[in-house]
Amino acid sequence: MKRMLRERWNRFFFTEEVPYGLALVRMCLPLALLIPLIPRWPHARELFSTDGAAAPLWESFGFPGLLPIPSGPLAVALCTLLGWSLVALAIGWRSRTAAAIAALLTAYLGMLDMLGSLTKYTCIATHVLLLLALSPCGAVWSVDAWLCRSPAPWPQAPAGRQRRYALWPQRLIQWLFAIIYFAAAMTKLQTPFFVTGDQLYFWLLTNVNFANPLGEWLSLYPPMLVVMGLITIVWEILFPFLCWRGISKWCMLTIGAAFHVMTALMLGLIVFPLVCLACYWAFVTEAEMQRLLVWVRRLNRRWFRRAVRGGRPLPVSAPPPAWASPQASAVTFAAAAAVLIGLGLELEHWLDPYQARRGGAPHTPPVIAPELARRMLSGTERIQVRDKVFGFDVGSRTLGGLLADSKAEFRHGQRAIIECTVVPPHEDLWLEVNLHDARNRLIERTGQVMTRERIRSHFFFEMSERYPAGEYELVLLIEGQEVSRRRIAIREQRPGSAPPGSDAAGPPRVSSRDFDSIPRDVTSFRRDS
Amino acid sequence: MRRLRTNLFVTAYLGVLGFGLAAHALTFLKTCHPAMYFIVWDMFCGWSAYETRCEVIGEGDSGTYYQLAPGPWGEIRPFGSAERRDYDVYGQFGHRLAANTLRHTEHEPIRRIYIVEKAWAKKYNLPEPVWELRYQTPKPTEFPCYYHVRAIYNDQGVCLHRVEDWLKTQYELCVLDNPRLRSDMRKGHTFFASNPRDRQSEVIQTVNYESTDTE
Repeated sequence: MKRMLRERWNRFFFTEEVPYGLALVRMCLPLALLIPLIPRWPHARELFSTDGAAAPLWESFGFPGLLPIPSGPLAVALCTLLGWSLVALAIGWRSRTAAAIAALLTAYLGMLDMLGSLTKYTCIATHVLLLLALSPCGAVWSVDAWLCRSPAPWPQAPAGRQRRYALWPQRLIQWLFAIIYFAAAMTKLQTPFFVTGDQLYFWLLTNVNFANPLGEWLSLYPPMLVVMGLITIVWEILFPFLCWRGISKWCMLTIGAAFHVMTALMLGLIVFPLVCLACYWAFVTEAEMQRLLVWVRRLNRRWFRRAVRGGRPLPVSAPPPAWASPQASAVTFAAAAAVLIGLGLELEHWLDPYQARRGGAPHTPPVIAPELARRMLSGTERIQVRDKVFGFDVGSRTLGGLLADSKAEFRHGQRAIIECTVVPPHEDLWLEVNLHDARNRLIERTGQVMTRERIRSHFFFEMSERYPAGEYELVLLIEGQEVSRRRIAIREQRPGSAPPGSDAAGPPRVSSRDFDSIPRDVTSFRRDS
Repeated sequence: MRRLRTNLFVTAYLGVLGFGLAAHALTFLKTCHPAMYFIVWDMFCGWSAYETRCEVIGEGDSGTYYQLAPGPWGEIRPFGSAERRDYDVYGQFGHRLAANTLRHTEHEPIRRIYIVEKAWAKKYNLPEPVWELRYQTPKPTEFPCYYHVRAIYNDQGVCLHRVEDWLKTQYELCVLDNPRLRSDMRKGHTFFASNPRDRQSEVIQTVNYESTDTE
């Protein structure tokens, strides 16, 4: 048993492969991380230094002084060095050194600015960069490989030409993602109202990320969000069990890729999905990469009608010049870093964000209009009732506990479902829904208590023949004041259809004796006016 | 030997990831050290139906009010549309943003620094066409914003007043909308407490259970 476990462990972590997957992670991840770094660089002094307003994570955790906060020039130098290490890592120049520097600085600079730089993608990137620093990520498709005089191995080259390495760094990246997704599923299960779609719904309406027009449009279809939320939870739970090999791995990765693309389109996230998708390359094995590249080459030949290159030798990069030894490479790498840091310091000095060195008039803080300031500093107001009400919708069917359609015309015998959405925080409320006729006369009144922990209440109206065909309005009242109105129309039953009250015409009218048979959150108290 | 070292590293790394997972699942030691932030994966753990922003304003000796964040040299929008100060959800760094602006600008003596939260219902974030589809009415051009003074600092940066955030305050107001509960609470007595999250704070608040400054 012990031997079998050891064999499995060794097979899992120490099988040797050409690290194509790691090479692709090495190339893609730094490019994704440069996207947030470049706009932050001109603000490095303000974000990360004692000459600005650093917001260290350790202070938030109650550990003041855990790590030093750098001075302004040092912060600029570190930010420049991080940029340089990411570029070097992407091209595979001193890959392991660059990855180690990038891991260290991504974590340190992130922790120095927990307001505007530290997010969970910073943490994921730190883990992956650390693992890249311990891996042979520069063994293929890199400047390092070129300098080592090993011909850049093409995946179709004979196996003997390529050096293989143990798989464990790649496996640890896979484990990292398995645990991240599993933990994310636990977060969702612990979050109230995720399963009902409300959390996702309000994230779609949140404007802290980039533009998300698709998300705003999808907010019109809440039942779809319930379904998407459930799929996400199931996928995240299954990921650690199915992500290792075969068809199930590709299913998990495809759903994952779709999930991350949707977070970009629906939530306006940019860097997080790019970081995750870059790391997905760690799931690709040597054999899969060979198949993929063969397929890409075939596709390329077919689509672009290139000359058939089957008979030609595989492309081999030119050997490096004699002076470009690995030792010279290390010196050049350090020299390039030093030069770039010097240039960065000079450029930042020239940019002069605080206008301290140009000799002009110093900045002055903008003045706030007195009325606005007075409004800001007056006491905290209670939320107005109209802001508590998020929706007052009419439809005829529900899905996942939410109204699934929107309807404004009903026929005699049909049932209208009215959904009132009141967002937290709210007190225990008495909700009243009244039916008014075309002349605004109250003809039906119904109400129910909405306790503070609930978000939705459903009312049912049987459109019986006691309401003559015509135009009506449904009016929502909370605390006695009108909050919202919806116009509906009641029409005669179509000739030949079943009479009201029969099964075909919909369920019977809700009455007090039916209360026990209806779920608690949709019962309505009804009294005739 | 090399294989042994690798095995030890792999085991230790998986152990750390497993510890983060367990800490998250059991809500145990989740915030015991800043390093926990790197191993606890609790993305998108909360939500609210209200959008909030943070304002940092200073009151000069003349009674003029100044905007102290962002600084006059320009704003930083780190992740899209919100400004850097808006991510200060615990209200911990507002005074530091203000101090940085004051350090690098010319201004009259500043008497007070106010950290103010601004909130509005997220439904007003809907673009106009979607609003019309959703509510079948034109989107209002103006909508109510709520302001809530979260903290006040003096010219030395000493915290004079600090309360919970706007949302928690509103929850408190809703819960306190109960005469029996209020009557029971008044049977208690006032006491002094400091915010346990802010371990190095100089803040000593005079509080009772109804500590909110409300109208």
